[in-house]
Amino acid sequence: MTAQTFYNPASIAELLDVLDKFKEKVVIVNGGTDVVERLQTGRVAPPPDAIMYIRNVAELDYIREENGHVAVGGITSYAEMLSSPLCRQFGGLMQALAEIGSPPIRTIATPAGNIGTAAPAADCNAALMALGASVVLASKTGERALSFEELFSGPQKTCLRRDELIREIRIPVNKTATSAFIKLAKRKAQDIAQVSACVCLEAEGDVCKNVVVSLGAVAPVTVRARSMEALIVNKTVDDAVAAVRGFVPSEASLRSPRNKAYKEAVIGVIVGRAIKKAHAETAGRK
Amino acid sequence: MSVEVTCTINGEQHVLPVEPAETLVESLRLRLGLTGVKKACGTGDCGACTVLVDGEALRSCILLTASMQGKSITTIEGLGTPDNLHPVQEAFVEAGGIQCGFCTPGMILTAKAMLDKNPRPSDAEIMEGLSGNLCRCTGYVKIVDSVHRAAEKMAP
Ligand SMILES: Cc1cc2nc3c(=O)[nH]c(=O)nc-3n(C[C@H](O)[C@H](O)[C@H](O)COP(=O)(O)OP(=O)(O)OC[C@H]3O[C@@H](n4cnc5c(N)ncnc54)[C@H](O)[C@@H]3O)c2cc1C
Repeated sequence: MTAQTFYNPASIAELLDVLDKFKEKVVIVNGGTDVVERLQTGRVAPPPDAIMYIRNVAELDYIREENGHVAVGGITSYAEMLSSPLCRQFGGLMQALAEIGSPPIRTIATPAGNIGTAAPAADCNAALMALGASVVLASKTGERALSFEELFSGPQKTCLRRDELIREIRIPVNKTATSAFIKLAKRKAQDIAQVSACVCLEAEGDVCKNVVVSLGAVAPVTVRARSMEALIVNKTVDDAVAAVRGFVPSEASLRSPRNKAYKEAVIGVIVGRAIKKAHAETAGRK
Repeated sequence: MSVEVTCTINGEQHVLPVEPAETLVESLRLRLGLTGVKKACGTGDCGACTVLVDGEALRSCILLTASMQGKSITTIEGLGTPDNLHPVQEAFVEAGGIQCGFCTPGMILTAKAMLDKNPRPSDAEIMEGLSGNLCRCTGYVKIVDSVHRAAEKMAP
């Protein structure tokens, strides 16, 4: 085993010091549901000189509403979000989280870790993208915010600098929108999405007025499918569902011949279902 | 550089010098001989390595022992004794929820954590609660029965 140092900071300031000191030679462990196994199998590159466990930084554990958004701290778990009254308004997010892993995974895994891993099929990332969320990154030199559309640069790659911490996720409150998430997988628990979609919809009666569509597992990164949104806007729900069926959005880029045809065939079906589900919630609200 | 971790395991305080990347399943099995904690997939998928950490069911194959400072860990060895089984253990024996036995410690500990939060789970809630614990023998029917039986035994 390599000679590594273990850090267990108790404050953000301490944490940022360690990040600044080691940069790409330190690996952050949050819930650890992705990264611990990668550490065991030598798949953390470059091999880290230090391991930093961040779950004792209590000031990163919160969910609160402020300035028109719900703010979720950098170590807050899925289980905490699922039981938070503040998160309940984001239907698509709740549906995505409820299907991640199984209860022992959700107890400890975090949205920050979902971002850090940047898997193309990541469920929480897809939901947060459709909801227009942004991420606050902190380092010793200051803070910056990135939208989910700016966050990912490739499979398992983010635009985070190696001295940056995911300090907070901000989900804008939008009382006129509803959202829904659909995950297509071979089994219900603990499976990776074949295709996932989250739709955030503002409707007037049966007509789709504003819509954001995000897709998981159809490209190297989670994508926003603007080409699909264009087909939905100003159509009735039924017409929108018909329009997306069979449509392959230009944002999808499927290379594996093994599942390309299948995925291309189901994207529109999944998005259609998500549109209907989001709209049904609109009706439920009135 | 090894890290010194002080934690409670099955009610006893331990000071463990561990490697930073060492997993809890390794420490429990190899340092303490607690072989009731099973290691199978090593990726958090199968649930065989489940232990309780401060009452929550977690996967010890994807937990760093170094992060267990101050925590209280319960393995199947700490739940009951052969002469004095915990009600969940008793229920699994009585209802035939055990066949080869490999998944059983993880099943029982996951069920225990679930029953502590939800003393009267429905079939659907039990299946959801145990959805991350794989059993290749029973077909799950008797496991679900076992959890119902445990719930009855534990009812006040
Ligand atoms: C059995 C099982 C089932 C799963 N099922 C699903 C599923 O259905 N859907 C899904 O999307 N995922 C699933 N996952 C993957 C995983 O649980 C999620 O990606 C989870 O969100 C990771 O969170 P974590 O806190 O455990 O991350 P960790 O493993 O702790 O970290 C992941 C990465 O993010 C970095 N990181 C973490 N927090 C921060 C931070 N605050 N700042 C900067 N970097 C950070 C780490 O350095 C690491 O690179 C599953 C995993 C397992 C083991």
